[in-house]
Amino acid sequence: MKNILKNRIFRNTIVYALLLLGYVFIYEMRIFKRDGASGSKVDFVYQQF
Amino acid sequence: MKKHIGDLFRFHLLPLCIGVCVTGLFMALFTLYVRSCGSPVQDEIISGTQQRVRGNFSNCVAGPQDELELAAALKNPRVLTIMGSSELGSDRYSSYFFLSDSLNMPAIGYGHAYHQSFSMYCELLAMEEFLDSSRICFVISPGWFDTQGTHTQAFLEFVRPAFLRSIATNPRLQPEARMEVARFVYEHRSEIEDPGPTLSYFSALYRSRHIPLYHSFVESWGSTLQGVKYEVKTADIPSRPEIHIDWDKRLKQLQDTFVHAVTNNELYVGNAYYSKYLLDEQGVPRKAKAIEPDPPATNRELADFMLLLNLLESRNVRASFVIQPLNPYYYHDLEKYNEIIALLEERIRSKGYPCFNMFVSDKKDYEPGTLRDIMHLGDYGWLKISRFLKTSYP
Repeated sequence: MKNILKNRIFRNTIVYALLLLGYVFIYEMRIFKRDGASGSKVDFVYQQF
Repeated sequence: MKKHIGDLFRFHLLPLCIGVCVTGLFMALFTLYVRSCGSPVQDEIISGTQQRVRGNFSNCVAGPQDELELAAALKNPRVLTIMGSSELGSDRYSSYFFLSDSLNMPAIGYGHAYHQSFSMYCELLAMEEFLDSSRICFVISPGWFDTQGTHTQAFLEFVRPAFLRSIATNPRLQPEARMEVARFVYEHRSEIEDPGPTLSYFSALYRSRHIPLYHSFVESWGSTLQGVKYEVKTADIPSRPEIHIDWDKRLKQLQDTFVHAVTNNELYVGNAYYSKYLLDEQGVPRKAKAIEPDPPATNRELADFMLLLNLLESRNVRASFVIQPLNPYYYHDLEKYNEIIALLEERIRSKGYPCFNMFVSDKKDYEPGTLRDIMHLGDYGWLKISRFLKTSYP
């Protein structure tokens, strides 16, 4: 077990898998954000004509 | 050098590939788990009683009670819901007052400026369970078809977070319907500030559409968002005596009153509006904005409207449509709308829905007083709409 944990290939595999999952959940799915706080970066100006 | 390349492969490329496989395996297991066990999250229950049976409201920003009011208006078989945009104001002849007060036909107006087809489509998707036999009149403005479709800010205003969660988690909705919402969110993602999990889910859903494993994972992830269920008790509306209306006489009165009140212009525009908006600082009349709708094949609003129309048909909605005019005394190139308006009318009628087309491109066909300014309905126009609605929903 100790040998496996010391294995560089194994450690890098874990790091890359965690990075990918972190990207998916934190960046793509925004799991730590709250719904309803979104706003628009562009405002419309009400035009009468 | 050879050793470096070998190390790069062994210690980085190989772990990266295995990492991708591990991530894929995790996603596959997650997808299988959610599909077999269902969502582990309980739906949010929004419950309450219908309080509005006449008048109008602009949006559901104020909170769950307004969402309930919209749900109740759609659910209550006695209530007619009128969805529209900037023409929905406090004019006394607006159908949601006149029909409610004079003709024993409770009606609720919903929307304000920039409330266009795609927002309506999303609102109705979120309220899908109340759509069967629901009575809805859509007041269409030709100006919508001179835009690039629904504006992001309007979408975020009208399609509330609870509506998005309802769309994301409702198993009765077709995946295609959910994908349309995903497309909109993805295409406008750069205009959305600080998106939350639901908007991010929709964006990822569209982004992943060509990667089956990832797409299935995102779909499963969506079903773990907290759903919304509206438990609404509709109001028991007592019948009121119906007032006899001599429609032609009343219409004539309203038209004459309006025409005589216009004294500072020959455009059949109310005096105050004309002075405030149609004259510049030097008192010189402003020119009308040029009309340039995209052709039907590429018109985003028309495509959104077709989505709406198909949803109404699939959910057995008792819909009706009013196509408003624009003032041809002010706008000089209204014939540019003719093709789109004819197409709209043809599509609406092909579904068997009643349609009241008030649009004209020629001055000689325009009935003064239909609009109180250049684009907003006047008392005369509203009364004609009320007559159409009374006939459409006997």
